[in-house]
Amino acid sequence: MKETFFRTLSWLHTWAGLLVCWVLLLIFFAGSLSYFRHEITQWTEPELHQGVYQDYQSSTLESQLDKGQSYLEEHSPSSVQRWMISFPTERRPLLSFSWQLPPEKGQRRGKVETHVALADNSGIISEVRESRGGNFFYRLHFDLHYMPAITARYIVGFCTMFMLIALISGIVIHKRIFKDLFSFRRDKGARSWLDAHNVSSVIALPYHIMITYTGLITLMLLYIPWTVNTAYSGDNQAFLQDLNPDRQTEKATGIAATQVQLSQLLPQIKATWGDAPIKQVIISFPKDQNSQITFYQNMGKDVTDKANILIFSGTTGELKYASPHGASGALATYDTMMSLHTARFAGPLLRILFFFCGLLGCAMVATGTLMWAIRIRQKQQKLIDKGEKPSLGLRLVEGLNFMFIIGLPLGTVAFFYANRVLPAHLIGRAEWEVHSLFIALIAMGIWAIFGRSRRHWQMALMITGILCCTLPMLNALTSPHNIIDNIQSNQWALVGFDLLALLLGGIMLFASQKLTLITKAPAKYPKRPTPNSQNTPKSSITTELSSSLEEAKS
Amino acid sequence: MPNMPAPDTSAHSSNTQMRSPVFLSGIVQWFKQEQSVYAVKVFVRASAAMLAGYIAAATLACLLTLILPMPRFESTLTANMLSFLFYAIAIIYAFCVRKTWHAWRDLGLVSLLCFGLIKVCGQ
Amino acid sequence: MMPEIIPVLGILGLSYLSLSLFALAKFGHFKDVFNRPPAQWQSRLLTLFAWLLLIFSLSACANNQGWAYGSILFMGVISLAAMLVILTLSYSPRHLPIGIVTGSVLTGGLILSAGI
Repeated sequence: MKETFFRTLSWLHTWAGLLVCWVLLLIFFAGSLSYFRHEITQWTEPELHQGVYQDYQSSTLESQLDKGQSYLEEHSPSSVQRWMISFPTERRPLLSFSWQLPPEKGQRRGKVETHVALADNSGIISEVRESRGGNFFYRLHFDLHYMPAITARYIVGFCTMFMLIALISGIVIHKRIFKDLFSFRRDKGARSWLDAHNVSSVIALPYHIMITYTGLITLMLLYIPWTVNTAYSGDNQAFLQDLNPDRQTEKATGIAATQVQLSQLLPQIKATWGDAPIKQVIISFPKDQNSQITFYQNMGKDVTDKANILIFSGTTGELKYASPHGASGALATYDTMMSLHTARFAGPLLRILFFFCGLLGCAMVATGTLMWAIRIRQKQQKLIDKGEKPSLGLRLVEGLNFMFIIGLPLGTVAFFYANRVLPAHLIGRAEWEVHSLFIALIAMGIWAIFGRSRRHWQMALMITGILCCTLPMLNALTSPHNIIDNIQSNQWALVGFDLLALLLGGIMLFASQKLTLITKAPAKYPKRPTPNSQNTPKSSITTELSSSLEEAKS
Repeated sequence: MPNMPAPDTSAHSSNTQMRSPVFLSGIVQWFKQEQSVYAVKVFVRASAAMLAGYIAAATLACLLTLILPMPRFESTLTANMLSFLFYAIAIIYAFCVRKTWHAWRDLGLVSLLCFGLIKVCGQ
Repeated sequence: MMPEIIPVLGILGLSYLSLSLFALAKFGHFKDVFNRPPAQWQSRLLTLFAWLLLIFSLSACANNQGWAYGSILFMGVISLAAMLVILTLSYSPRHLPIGIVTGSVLTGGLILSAGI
């Protein structure tokens, strides 16, 4: 575009980033939260905060399987598609029995109903409030909301590609990547925003590249499906069979048969897997001649997304399939990439670090677009001082910044409040929780129409911070336990949720406090370049960036 | 570029919309302006990057599935995983190549070449 | 959770040390901290030690958690450590030596106790 390679790339960096940054922010934000998918789900089901937590014990497996099977036989409707028995894992320490109904018209998947066993074997909890919990954020990350999933995935893929381009061009134009690695000059106006953008991108750079590329790979067969057509001459089923050898292709016959007793299969499992823990058992088409029983191994900390499974016939108990030991190079790479993206293998500490890196990604996107708005405002400052209105582009970007950067955290907090405040038996309760997130987002958008100045930012940040900090209090009031009880009973997921809410809320309050300080000292007012800040030597990228912006504008 | 500050020309051309000859000459005028040339160039390059780049990356990936010395399942996965790298390179190429129309020409040539090779290898 | 946190804290301390030495090797940061510019040999020595510490912390991580898991964990830890160094340097550069000392004492103690 421009005369030189570097200027072209900085132009590309600016526009590739700016065009999709708000969707990217949403994706990054939802993705970071979905690292705590199960923990969030646990928080959103306060009925299960008491008496259900238990550790995995191989000695009780047999009785648990028997109990689950008889419970499911007794309680599930006859039209049911699958039974599932989930054993306690590190992240979801409860024993649950669930069944899936056949899909309703227009739905791809049937509804799942889950009942949770009490830890002391004294009964089953069947009444849990309807909430999508952490799964909502997981879906929001790639399916967005209020639109068909496939459309959303194309949009997400498009934005991810932009992100990849912005990353590559950003690395190339940031010539002083190691020289400026630790430089963060605060209170220097636009310079500080550039530093913050650089710091948040560079210190988590391996993470950003990894998460962007593996993100594309998770849905690669949707984005570039023709490779399969070429290699398999159009036989997609053969490819899918190669990808998931355990894929069930048989249908229910409709002929009733007696179900084999699950606990009888345990010796066979022990012979193959040894003492490796079992995560889940799925019985498809129970009491049908084609019934099939699949055991899933708990893979722990292995960096792979491959499921290690054993499939038995549901009527005879004969072993039909066992996951092979070694995978081929390409498949192993693919599995590793997938697991790096989903971080299913990560222990609590690594999970927190991934979350931290995800937040840095949010910061990278947010500081980038804030910096754009600040620079354009500087350019137009003379005209604005004369009483003219800022240009439409600037107002739009500033408004969207306000809406998304404040609206997303506020919406999430609103989601959690709705989860606890909405009556438990409200019809469409789960949907209303989700609506409350988007209502908060749109409310911020409307606020942005009326004012986006520093004072408004400060006020909105303060409100969000206070609401976020009071989440532990909300939890104490609306669930059987407060944070102290949870510490005493070692409920680290719930404790972590409360602490994280306090921490993030505290950061927001701190940021709003910082904004007050800046407003009080007009010499450091970042949106208005003082002679002082203009005298500071700008690095080459800064000049590059501003000159490219100038040209892009003209 | 929806966020680009609207050029002044839009107001100008809407004023001259009254009579069709003036309107036509307005369009001609618009194309003669430097910033309009710039806008057209951006459009051409961006479309080359997104469309031609995508086609080039996809055909190259398809070609790879055929020529990689692996079983077809593995070559499919490998090619598919690499395809986004090709796409990224194609996009950056489209914006960095010296002449605007070369972006379409070169990416088109790559796609055609790959397509031809797929046809040859596929037989 | 507790047994996992101890070695990771040690690795965090190591990475913090390594990155703060990297920062000290830079002219501007050295001047911020010690109020005088670094001599060239000081700069070189600091960089050398920083690299050694970085490699040591990666190997400690891999040793403790296995290569696959350890190297991923290392990437995360190093991001956090870099963030801490940057915060120290931008909010109170004079306290960086104190940070280094506490970091190294913690690291040493933790590594010894964890027996890496």
